[in-house]
Amino acid sequence: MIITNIETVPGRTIVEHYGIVQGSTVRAKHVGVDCVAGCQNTFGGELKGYSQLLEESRNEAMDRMIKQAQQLGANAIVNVRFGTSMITQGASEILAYGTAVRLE
Amino acid sequence: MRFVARELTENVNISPGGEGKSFIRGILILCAVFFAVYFALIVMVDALISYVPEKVDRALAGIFSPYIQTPSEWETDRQRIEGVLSSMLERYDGPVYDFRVDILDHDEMNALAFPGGNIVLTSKLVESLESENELAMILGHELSHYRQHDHLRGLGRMIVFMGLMTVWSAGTNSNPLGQYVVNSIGTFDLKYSRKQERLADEYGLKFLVTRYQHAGGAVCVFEKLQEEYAAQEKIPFLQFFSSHPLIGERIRHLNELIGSRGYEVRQQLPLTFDLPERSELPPS
Amino acid sequence: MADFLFFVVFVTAVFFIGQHIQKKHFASLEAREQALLYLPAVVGRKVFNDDDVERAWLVHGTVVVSGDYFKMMLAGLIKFFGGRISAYESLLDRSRREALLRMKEAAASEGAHMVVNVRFETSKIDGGNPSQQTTGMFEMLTYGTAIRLKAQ
Repeated sequence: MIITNIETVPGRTIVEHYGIVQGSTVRAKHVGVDCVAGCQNTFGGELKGYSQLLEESRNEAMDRMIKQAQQLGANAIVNVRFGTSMITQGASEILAYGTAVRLE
Repeated sequence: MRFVARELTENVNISPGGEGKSFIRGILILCAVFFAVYFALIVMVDALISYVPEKVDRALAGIFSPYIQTPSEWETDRQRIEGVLSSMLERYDGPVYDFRVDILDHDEMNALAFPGGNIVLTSKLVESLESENELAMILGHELSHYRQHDHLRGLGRMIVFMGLMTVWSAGTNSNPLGQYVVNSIGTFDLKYSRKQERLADEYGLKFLVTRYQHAGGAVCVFEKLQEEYAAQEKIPFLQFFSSHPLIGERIRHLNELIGSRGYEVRQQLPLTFDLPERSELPPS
Repeated sequence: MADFLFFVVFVTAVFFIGQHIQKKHFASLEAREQALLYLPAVVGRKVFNDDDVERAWLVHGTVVVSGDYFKMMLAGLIKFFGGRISAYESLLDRSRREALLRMKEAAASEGAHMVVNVRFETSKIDGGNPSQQTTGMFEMLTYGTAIRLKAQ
């Protein structure tokens, strides 16, 4: 699966497109991570637990988007966009979407 | 570039597993984890309790003492009760504190053992007393709590309880579910505290008999309590939620002990309290 | 004890009602998606020749949703241990599909042949407060440019 966030896959020709595919997930870390992050919040800097959470979520959202594209028989996704939105404290939704296409 | 309409066959954006199922599984895991953590901590607290230095006990007493103050009008009554207490202390073999009695203005019959040897009786309980023997039974019961370190045990439990609740609230934004789970742990734990009460009743009876050479008055206090709470006892399952064994049960147990140990029940020493009307408003 | 019983009954009732609504919504989504399958919506814009366009206009679809009490309870449980909060995943998935459908329906009603440059936005319009037993509200917004091609 080739994934780009531009209109095309440079050097390849798109023959068919199948419309939007999207993958999303809502995940949370266990209470220990929440507590540590809460403390770190006071001093600033990277919140490793949450970095990891969002990284995992983003991968999961990508995976789900790819699965949708595979269901449609696509072999590439172009114009991919990400969205993040807070759902509840310490739980965010990550969305990935793009256009499923078939390359020559 | 040509558009080909194709349909998605399955929804990949929802994690597998029904919501109802994961809810039940979650609850069970949560209960298991909370119960395990709670009882592990409790066992630790209980094991450590006899090593708590007297200094800590005193410091704890310092926290509570500003809230426990006998109104000045009741000072003479308070001293009369302390007189009875000191006559019993000769036979007391538990950890030594600066024992002190206080009367708390409260519309419920109750007696409590606070850290640092501060025994608190409610005004309603004091007014209901009719003999020195009854008072001795109550004081004996509270002294046994000190003997068993129950005052610290209760505090330890409270701290563990609050700790669990804090962790839950921090992690879930005070979702009410955890409160119910923690409360249900408390309900199961009451079984344990009922055992402590039963032991305290037994020691209390022993104190009474060694002091007065007979068991008169041991049961009277509980009969008054029973009258007071007659309405409550009719509610089914109450025993399960009550921290003290049901009063009827306690009376039965005491009568059994009195019978099996062959204690005599003789004339009681009359002693009544008529607490003077308070001039100031009770602190609320 | 009484409030615990009330809680159990309440959560069970909310569970059944909420799941029923969810099931019906998914069924309706599937039927409407089937009907609009012919209308492509893409994230990019290189799917048409500029010379063929008769008209282009902005379309959007929007929906405001909130989770139910049961979903909030379940989310709280999962949040404690960590993991995927499927209760909210299903809510967000169906509301996003609803917003997308509403956009497509708006485009189709004016004779569009496709919607290009589609974007999704999620915003929380009310924080929600678990202690007051509310889950918060989200707006799902989908917007894009509807394209009507010239008759060949």
